[in-house]
Amino acid sequence: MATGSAMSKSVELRNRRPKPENRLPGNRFGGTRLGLQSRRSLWGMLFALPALLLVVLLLVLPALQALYYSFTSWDGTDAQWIGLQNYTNGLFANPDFRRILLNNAIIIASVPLEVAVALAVSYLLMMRRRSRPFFRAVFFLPVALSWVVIGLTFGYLFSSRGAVNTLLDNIGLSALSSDWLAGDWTSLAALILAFSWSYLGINVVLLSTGLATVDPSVIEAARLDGAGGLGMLRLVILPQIRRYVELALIVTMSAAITQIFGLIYTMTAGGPGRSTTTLEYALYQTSFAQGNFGQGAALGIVLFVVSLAVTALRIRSGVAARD
Amino acid sequence: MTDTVSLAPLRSAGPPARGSTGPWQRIFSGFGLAVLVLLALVTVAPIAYMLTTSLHSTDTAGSSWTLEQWGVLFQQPELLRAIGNSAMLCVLAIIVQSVVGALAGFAFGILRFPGSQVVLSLLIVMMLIPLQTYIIPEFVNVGRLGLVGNVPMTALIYAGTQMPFAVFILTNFFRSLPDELLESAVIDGASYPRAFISVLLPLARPALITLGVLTFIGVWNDLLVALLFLPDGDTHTVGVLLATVNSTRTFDINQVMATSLASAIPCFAVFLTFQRYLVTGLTAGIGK
Amino acid sequence: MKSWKSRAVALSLAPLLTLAACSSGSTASSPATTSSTPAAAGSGGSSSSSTSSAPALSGSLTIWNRGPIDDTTALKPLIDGFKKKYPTVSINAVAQPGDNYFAVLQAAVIGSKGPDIASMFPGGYQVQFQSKMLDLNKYIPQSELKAVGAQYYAQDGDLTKATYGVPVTSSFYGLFYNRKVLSDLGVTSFPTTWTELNAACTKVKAAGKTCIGYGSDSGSGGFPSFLDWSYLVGAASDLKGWDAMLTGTQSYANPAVTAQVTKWAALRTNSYTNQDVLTWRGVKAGFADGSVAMVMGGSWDTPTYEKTLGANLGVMPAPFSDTPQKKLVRLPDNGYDVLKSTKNPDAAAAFEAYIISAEGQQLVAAAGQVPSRTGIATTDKVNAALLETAASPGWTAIPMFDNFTAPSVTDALTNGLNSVLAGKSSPSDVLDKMDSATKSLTAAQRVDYHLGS
Repeated sequence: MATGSAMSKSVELRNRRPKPENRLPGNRFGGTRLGLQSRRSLWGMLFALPALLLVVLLLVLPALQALYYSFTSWDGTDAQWIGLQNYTNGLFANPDFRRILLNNAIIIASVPLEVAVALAVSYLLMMRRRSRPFFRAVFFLPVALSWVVIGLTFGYLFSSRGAVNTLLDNIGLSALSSDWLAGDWTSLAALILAFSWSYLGINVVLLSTGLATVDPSVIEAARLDGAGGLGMLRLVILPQIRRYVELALIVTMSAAITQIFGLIYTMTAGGPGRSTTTLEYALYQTSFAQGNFGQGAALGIVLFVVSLAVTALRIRSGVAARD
Repeated sequence: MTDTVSLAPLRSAGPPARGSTGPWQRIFSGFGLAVLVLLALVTVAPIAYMLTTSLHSTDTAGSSWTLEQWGVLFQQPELLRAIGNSAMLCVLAIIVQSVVGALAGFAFGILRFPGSQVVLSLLIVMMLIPLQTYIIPEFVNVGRLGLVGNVPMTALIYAGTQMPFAVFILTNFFRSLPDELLESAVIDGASYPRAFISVLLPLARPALITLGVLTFIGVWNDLLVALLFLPDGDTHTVGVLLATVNSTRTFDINQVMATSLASAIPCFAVFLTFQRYLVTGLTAGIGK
Repeated sequence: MKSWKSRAVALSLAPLLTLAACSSGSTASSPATTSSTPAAAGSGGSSSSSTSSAPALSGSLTIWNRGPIDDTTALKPLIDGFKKKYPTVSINAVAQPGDNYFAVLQAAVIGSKGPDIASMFPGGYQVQFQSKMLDLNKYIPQSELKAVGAQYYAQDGDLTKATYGVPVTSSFYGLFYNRKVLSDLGVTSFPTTWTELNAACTKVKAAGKTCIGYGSDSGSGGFPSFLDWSYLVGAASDLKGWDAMLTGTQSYANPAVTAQVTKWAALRTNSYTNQDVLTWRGVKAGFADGSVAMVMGGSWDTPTYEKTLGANLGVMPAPFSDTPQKKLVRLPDNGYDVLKSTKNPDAAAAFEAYIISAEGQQLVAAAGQVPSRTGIATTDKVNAALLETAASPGWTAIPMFDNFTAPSVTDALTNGLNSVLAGKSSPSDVLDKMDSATKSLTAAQRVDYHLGS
């Protein structure tokens, strides 16, 4: 559609920010270009310093220590160097490990879908100013709850005699009802649904912030050109908030693979078998439930490498290569 | 000229004027409302179940309602102190995270410096390391400093471990501001710190509030860090205190639901209080 | 819960599970609940240790309790009683969430921020912490430690070696039943073998009820299969055999154990259990309303069930056996250790001596718990009845197996048994997995607890 492409082109022009090295402020403002630019860089480094310092001391340093411990048998006090044993015997030789990796892959694959739903909701909310606060508050309710209670509740809802099956029976879909949490794949699906349920609110807030930055005149122009509904979303709005969509994707993925052991524990305890065991859950169990911190650290490293591989491209395109 | 360019994208996207909608738009709008209502019902139903469960008791099997479980919570003599501890942790963590994170977001999103985008990517990658991987080494380090049991140190740990997330959000936000805002302030003679404080920071309010709300919820609901780093009875947080209410022996679903819901109330209250600033705050900031 | 499994649970969400700590009694100290002369036994031990050190005691003690104060050990009355005796000692009791308790304790110990006294379970838990704990043998007479069956708080399960903690209560696993439901169907004597159990269950099933209910009110994926396991393996092997399996010198996948697990798995295929054993959330409610005849549980469950079933509640050892067994799975547990780092070892040891003294144990009984001390009976009628039976001639107590399995083995066990009963894997699958988990333990992890000695 001609309108759409013209629109996004104008958006790009407007948002374009010269990269520091190409920036030629002297041409426009007549200042000393190197002086201004290097002063700007210097302040940039200075402003970034406190955050980097905190992260290095409180996150990178202990993470590197954990990396070291992943080559040891470490129970919190004594650490014996055992080389790659935590990785070889403990992980890759474990017959369940493949399933655990697969679970992680499936959970990661579900993230774009979750963000898409949140985007649709945010878009719908953008168009109704009056009911927006109400709906946003409703969708945010689950965010305030701890994973423990969410896991318990969804465990009940999806249990064999729980509300989900009752509902399916009542609307004549009893063929679909099953013992969700006892099935190899249905349990994983139920877990992902519980996670999506609780994360919708956060994504709606993040994406609404993005939508608020969309230039209304662009929308108005597109409307006059006949764009509406999904066309408007896809061709006009999405290109303008791509950065926020990337943000939502990474934040959601980070939560899904590093912050939900409490949900898994209370909902399925990783079962049946290993159907809902993720790397993070295995890590928590190994370190905190079994006191094997060395093995747990190895799991954490594997989780990090896996998610790094998945996100490497995304982060490049979403952060570094953007504008 | 810079003014019009810079302000345009900041104005909130208003709702399409109803009058100008065609039939397709009206159908789309009706369909949209139906979707929203349905999703809202799906969102509320499990919470209704939690609430109902918390108002029943295993002893009073069947249909009678009781406030017994909620009563237990408020009989905790240490509750006030725990609320104080939690609030202190939340406030300190939010302050550190906002100040340090906003500076970094400004640096990465607007100022840029050679290599800044590589550093930013590395920082964001840190979000993918689960806390459980490094929390024990962290604990050992903090223990060596003699700072286990120290509330400000614990707040710093929350702020530090959540910093990549904060920087990510704030960088993103600052990046959507037009560069000309800074340029014109600097040309007018403001220093970079001055331009940051008086021009850009006020605009970042919605992002900071979003972050603050999420941090509040994260810190308030956290159990693991609070348990490890604040083990003494007089520094217990609300989360830790309420966790001790649950029996270690017999599982009482009614009690667990009451406990969890009670502890979620402040989180939701914080959201409600600040939600009007989340998006509308954007336009309000421009007014100045 | 006990052991590692329970540790897993304990660490993660213990409060959410019904874990109890359980433990088993040792065969050595026969768990007489109602016998003779508690007063005599008590006064001797406690007064000797306390009076000798009483004049010097002062200062303060911090106690970490896993879970709410008074949840399992009558800690508050014990502290009050102790203070009456030693008014110069001040005690600060801190309730720590059951959630992550052992990880937090471990971290605190590493960081030298630990309390003076801390909750501790026997077996694997104690072994993990023993290098950090004070040897109580120097402070408490052997006879006192023996009276409460503290050997699984001792090195190598031997009280003459270093002993790091004392159990306050004693717990058992059992099969709870609804007397009225069973007798209405003509089952008047509780089954003692598979054959009798199957016969009883056939009648219950014919009446449209569930014979044994499985599931979990707390969710968390599956039911506590370690309750069943101790009885299954208890009938298949003597305690020497347990030692051999725990240390890896004998395979779990041996014919006797495999046969036991196979018969157990048939409970569901015969529809003696509910079909949704992994996910049913209404087991307790079903047992309360009489639609379920029996459920596995522990002594800590008794008060809950008594509230609804009253005099119709009974509990017996699970009859998972080809021949009648006179074995009760029981372990003195819910104890307290003194940390080596304490600045007040004399006062701390005096507290330990007090809580296992006859005087202290009477307080435990008065609070409705099952005292660990031989000769002091619990006031709970249902628990007392079983303990009385189990104290009669010919009966022995066997420990809770899961208190002694290494964590990775416990994980394979509970996860695997859940799958077996749900019909998702075969008995030999789970036993093979336990064997391979045992094989990959380091020598140091393969602790010999000398259960059979």
